[in-house]
Amino acid sequence: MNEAPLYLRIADLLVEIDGWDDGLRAFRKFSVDPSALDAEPVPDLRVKYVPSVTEEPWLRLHRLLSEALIEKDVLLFHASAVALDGEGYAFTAPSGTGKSTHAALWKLYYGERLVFVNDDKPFLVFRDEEVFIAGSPWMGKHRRGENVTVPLRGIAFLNRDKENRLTGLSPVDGYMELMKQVFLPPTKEGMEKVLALLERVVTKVPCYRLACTPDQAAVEAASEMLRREGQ
Amino acid sequence: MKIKDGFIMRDVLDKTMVVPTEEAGKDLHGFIRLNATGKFIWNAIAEGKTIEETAKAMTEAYEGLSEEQALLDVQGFVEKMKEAGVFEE
Repeated sequence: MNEAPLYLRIADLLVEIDGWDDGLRAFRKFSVDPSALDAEPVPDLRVKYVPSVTEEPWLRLHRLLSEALIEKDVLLFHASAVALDGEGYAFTAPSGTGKSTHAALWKLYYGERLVFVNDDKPFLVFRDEEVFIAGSPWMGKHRRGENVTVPLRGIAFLNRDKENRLTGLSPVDGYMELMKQVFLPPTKEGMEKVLALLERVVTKVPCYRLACTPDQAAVEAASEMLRREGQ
Repeated sequence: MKIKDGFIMRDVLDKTMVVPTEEAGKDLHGFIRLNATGKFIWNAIAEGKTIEETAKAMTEAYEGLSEEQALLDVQGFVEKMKEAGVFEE
């Protein structure tokens, strides 16, 4: 059993994980070498991992971390997020709709200008009056993501269609959709916190509906997000 | 009549919503949107008013609303909330 804590940098936070004895390659873009820290490091957040028989360890740790991060105004978001020239865009939809596919098409289209922030579950980060999107070790099955935090400039709710069209979504409608795609804590207090954070998202970040085909034309339609100031 | 534990009523921008939490033991995607009347009735029930007292308060708050209509409105809302598992006796 490895008694030494694990240190990760997630968004702007130094996170200490205690009780995790299974080193994983998945952490490597996020782990902090202890020699780079002070002799007595002061983490921003401590998460105690305690195994359970019902929950698979990697998922359990993700859930414990996600719950703890809410206190630091960091919220798990089920989306595929990219950064184009350092500006973040997120695509979200029910599983299987094609958000990973769409993000991959952005990479093909924009090449070097585009990096994946996180292809499965990035974190929304609330700092001052801004909303950012950040990478995380849990990157989904394609393992696409980086340890970056970028300002979030648009959220597109995807659905498959025969034609490509981007339309603006009102803040309230965006809010209702977002609620289905973020981590919802089990407590009332946690829930109130998340609802307040969601309100900040839709007042700051333009939301859109994107009807799209699984090909390059979809990226052209979606790229209208880059040119709009909002609705 | 009372509101079951674990439900949050909250203003979001210009709308009002009822959101279940895990404490409520409900499907987490079952949000309910309230209009101004719904919010009024919710608050009255939360304060401990009966259906009749709530209807009375509504006639005082809304001009031109008869007692019969107010009672119908409150009963209708309460029934919907009971069916949704949000209110209970």
